[in-house]
Amino acid sequence: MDAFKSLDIMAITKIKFPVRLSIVILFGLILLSLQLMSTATQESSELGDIYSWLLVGNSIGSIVLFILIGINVYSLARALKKREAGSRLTTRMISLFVVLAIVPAAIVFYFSVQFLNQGIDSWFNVEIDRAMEDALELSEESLDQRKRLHLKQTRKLAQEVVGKSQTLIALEMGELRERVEATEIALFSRQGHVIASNSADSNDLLPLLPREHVWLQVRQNQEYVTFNQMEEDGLLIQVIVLVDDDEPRYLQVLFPVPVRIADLADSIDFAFVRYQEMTFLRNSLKSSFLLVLSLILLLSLLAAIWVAFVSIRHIVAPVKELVKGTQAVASGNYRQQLSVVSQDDLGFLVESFNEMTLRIASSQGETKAAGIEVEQQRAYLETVLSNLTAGVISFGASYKIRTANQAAYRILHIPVSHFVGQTLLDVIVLHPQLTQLWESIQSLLEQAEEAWQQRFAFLGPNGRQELLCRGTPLFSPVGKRVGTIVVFDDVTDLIQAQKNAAWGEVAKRLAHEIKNPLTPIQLSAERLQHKLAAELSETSAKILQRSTQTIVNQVEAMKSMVDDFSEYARPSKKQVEVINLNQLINEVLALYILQTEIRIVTVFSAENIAIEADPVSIRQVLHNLVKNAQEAMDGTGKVEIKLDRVMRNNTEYAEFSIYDNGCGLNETQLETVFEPYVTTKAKGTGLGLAIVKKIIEEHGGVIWVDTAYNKGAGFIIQLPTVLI
Amino acid sequence: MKVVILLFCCLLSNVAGANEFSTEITNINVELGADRYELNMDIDFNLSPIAKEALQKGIALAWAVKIKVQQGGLLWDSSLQEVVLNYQIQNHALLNLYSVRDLKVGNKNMFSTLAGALDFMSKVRRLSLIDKKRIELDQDYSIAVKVMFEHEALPVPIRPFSYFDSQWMLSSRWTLWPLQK
Repeated sequence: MDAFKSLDIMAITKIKFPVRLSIVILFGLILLSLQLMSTATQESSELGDIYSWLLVGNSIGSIVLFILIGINVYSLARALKKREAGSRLTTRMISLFVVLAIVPAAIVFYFSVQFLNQGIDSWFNVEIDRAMEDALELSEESLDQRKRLHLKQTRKLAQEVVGKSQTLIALEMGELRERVEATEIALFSRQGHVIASNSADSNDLLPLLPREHVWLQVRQNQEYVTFNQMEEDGLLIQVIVLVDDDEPRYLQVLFPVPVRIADLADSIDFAFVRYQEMTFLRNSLKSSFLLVLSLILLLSLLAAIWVAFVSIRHIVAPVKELVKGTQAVASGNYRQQLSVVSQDDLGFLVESFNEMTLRIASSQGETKAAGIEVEQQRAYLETVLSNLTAGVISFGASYKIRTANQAAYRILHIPVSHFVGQTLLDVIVLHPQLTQLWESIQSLLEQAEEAWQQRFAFLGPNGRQELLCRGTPLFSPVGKRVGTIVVFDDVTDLIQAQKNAAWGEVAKRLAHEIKNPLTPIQLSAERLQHKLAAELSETSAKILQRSTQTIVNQVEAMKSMVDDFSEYARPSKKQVEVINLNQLINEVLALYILQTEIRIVTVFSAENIAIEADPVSIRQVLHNLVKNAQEAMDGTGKVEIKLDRVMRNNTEYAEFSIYDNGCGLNETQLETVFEPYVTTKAKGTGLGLAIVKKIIEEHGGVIWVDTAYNKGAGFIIQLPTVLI
Repeated sequence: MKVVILLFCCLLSNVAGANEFSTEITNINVELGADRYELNMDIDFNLSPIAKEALQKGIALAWAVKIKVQQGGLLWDSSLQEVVLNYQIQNHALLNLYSVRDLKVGNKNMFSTLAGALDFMSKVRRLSLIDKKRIELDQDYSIAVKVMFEHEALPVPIRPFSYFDSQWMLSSRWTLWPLQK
């Protein structure tokens, strides 16, 4: 809740950008600028002087807006790429706005340009051209008439002054000027010096002096007529003619053009020039209007698009927050609360969202508490299962493994829990040694409709193992089968212990019930021999001798057998020490190599292997196995003995194997070969291999029949090694 | 450093101002008058076809002739005096005359031919410049002249385009002339 408060405070204290005010100011500036530019376009406007600056200003404004829009488009594209909340809605709204703004603007622009071009073109036509030119020609003709008239008048005046002295001319100048109603009259020497002059304006002492180029024309053409625009006198006709005298002189007369004619001429001149100017600027005018129109359109559109970005972002902001909130809820944050920034429909939506998340958070808390309780129960159950000595594997409806406890791994020596989600048949692929066991259990899983119990035997890494399996089908409350739970115990040791106890009891009873009467039987037989041998005939004595001897021998044999059983049943007394197994095997084999024709072949590892064991017991094991092999081969053949190191379950073992090429073992013998009293030999007691197994197991090792070997019998022994 | 800046400026002005219709300063001569230096200068106004057509159509063309007397500095020259002559030429169709108006002084001269009008504008004679007392003998001075075509004096419709049209690039480059003391 504190976090929510701090967020609210941050939202309140955050300085808000005055969006609406900025938009109003921006549009105001744009409108002002466009109005100024529009006004400046008019020829008579005083704003014409700043027209170029207005163009530049508006262009810069357009560029700035373009950059702003570019930045907005870039950030929107990035947001779209990141799939940020609200980005797609913003894009759609902006696109719609741009299309809605551009299409009508483009249509208006197109028709405006058309109208503008046609309007400007309509200003000019052949009739107006001709009228203007005619008006100008008329004016020119009128003025030329005056020029010709005044030239004629001036020529006459020049003829009048021919031959007159300078003094006389000076005296007549006033009269001459008044006669022709001139403004000014002046006589110049050949060099251009003023000889005499007279002006209507008495203040005007110096006459108008012709410029250099005027004198050139006068000297070339003898006369010169032109208009002259004087600031104070208005339009004048300046006429200069040669006074053909002994000494050439030049007479200049300035004639005024009547004010009315001058005004009319000015007006026509202005109109003509203006029309000519407009004709010249025709295309430029179109381009100029097009430029201004384009700039207005561009600026307006860019401003509108930028404002659209700002406004739409402002509108989408609550939606964006809502999407973020929804995503937060979807990702599990049910405590998400959004700040209500407006009291409109979106504000109502945000309030509803906040209420919803509050309720979800509340129910989620309850669900979480229940989940924790369930989890605790599950953990407790798992702890119980993992601490069970019995292996437990649960299967789903499709016979796939769902759980397996630690004991399953310990008993089966494979990590069953790693195969969760797979069937037992899948496990077979990686662990084929348990094929028969898994197939049997899989068959029961598929077929058994009720609880079942069965004992299975398999050859584990430590030899033959006996499992007692109990399977219980699991049903849902509606009676649908949802799986099976299989619980199994390793009863190998239990069965072995039961067998050992049974054989111990047999041995004890043999000792008690059989061995005790044997001594009196033996003594009685010897006594019969001793008492009756002398009294009987020689033939009878011999019969007695053989009979009593048979009795004694058989009694001895029975005693020996009973002693063997006693020895088998009695707990061993081991003197454990580290022994070099290579050396010990060689010592034992040395006793057999020369005894028979059986060839003994040894394949030992390069390094000596040491084990911690009772050497006497291990010697007995070796003797029993070698004897067993010899007896199986009837005096000839080959015994192969191998010794090597192997790794099993991260533990190093010495693996001793012995193979003969005798008659071998059949299926029935395989199951009982290590049990006492089991033998195929006429003289054997059937205890040799039973004792071997007993000794090996007492030393933490295992022994099994190598069923893969089919040329005779093969036994493999594994004993844990020690470092020398 | 100064040389580099000058070279850069020359290069820039060449790039910016090099045009077949540029105005050129063909001759500058500075003479010492009674108490002031006087400038005589010839300008070659080379009007483009568009400019001539505009003039014929009655559009007034204006130039500003900027003349600076500047003293050589370490990095850049400092201006001692600046004189600007403003000319405007216009055709009067009715009178079939060209008028050249000196906008600063206000007087107007009429010419029957364009060549005569341009000739009048092209000759600057005995233009009074800086007082000789302000000139120190141990310093270097130069006269910088530039004839600037007044784009802003053109009618509004043609004005923005004239800045980018080579036919309206009628200004000259800056021309430097050492002041002989």
